[in-house]
Amino acid sequence: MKLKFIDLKTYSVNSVGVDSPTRLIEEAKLLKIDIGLCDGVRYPYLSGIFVDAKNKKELLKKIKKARSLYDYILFRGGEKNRLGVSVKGIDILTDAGAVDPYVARMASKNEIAVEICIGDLIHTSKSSRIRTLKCIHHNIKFSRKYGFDLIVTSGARNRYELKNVKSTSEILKFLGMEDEEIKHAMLDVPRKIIERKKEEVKILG
Amino acid sequence: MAKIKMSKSMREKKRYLAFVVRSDFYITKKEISLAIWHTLMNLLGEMKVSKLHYRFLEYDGDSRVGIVVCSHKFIGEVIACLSLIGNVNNKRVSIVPLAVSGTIKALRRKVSRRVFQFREVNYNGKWGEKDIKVAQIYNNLIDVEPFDEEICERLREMNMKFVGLVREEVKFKEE
Repeated sequence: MKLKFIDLKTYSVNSVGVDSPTRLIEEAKLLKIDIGLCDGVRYPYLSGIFVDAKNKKELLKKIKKARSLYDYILFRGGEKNRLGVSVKGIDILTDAGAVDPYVARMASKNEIAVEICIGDLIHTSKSSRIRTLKCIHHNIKFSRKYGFDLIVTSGARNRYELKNVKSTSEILKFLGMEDEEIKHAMLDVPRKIIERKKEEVKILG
Repeated sequence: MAKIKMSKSMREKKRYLAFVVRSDFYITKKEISLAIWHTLMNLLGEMKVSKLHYRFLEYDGDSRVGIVVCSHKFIGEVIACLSLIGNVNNKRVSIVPLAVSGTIKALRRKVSRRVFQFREVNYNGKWGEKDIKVAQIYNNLIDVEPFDEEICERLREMNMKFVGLVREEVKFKEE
């Protein structure tokens, strides 16, 4: 089967980007990829939102509200990794850094995908790029051990940061991922996230 | 250094890779060749680069298409390195691989079908309530210079010049 890429972390001018949402969709068509915009605005195409909270109760409340409006929910991790994976409902844990065994176990249990952001590699250099690469290698290793999903995103804030299938797959291969893992991170996991939402809509009527 | 004569079977198999440089700015051959070289050296290191048999063959600044050649074993690594270039001399760029081929003739044939070029124009227009200056057009895609301070600041931060829109979003009149 031909490899495809669904990029679920892109930004348009309505958040921190510079291009209009329609332009990004057109550019994605030229690159033969699908994208979802995570501006926190409901578009006629795939739209996601970042949620943030101080505690579990607040997070659950925000997830419940966002679920009905958006196709997928992202959570910015880092120091809040444990909070992000503590509940079901978050789809993607972004900026997670190197995840610890507890986060890895909970991400696997709650079906939360941990992000590999290609943009982080592009925007860093020297020692900071080495740190980013180290985190990615660590997360790949933990994903194999604990079985949580990895998802690849571009984190594109403009049309030039979108990557086509060939570039993305070669970068992932370069990072040490196997062909099957690459397909899983580029296509299967994003598709699973989108279909999860569709199923929820069906159940709720 | 004297050129070593080798039998055909002993020669390294080559792959020609064509790429297109996408940017709001004009990028010269020197700039792009240096950027690629530095990225290869930074990411792969001297040992691996020595095994690549890498050579920068050509680059046309107008069509923005370039060709590099390397060993067939390492074509994946070269594509990955090219894709990880984001800035050249403080200008935002994106390098998109177009085609790979074993001969330069076949590569040129493949590339000629895949290149598109923006046409430079000079219109004034409106994007919603905001005043804009249309700078480049390709089919439905339009690159504009905004006057909005917040968006200009974002563009400066990203080392870019134009905001990307589509034709339906702009109301414009010819000057």
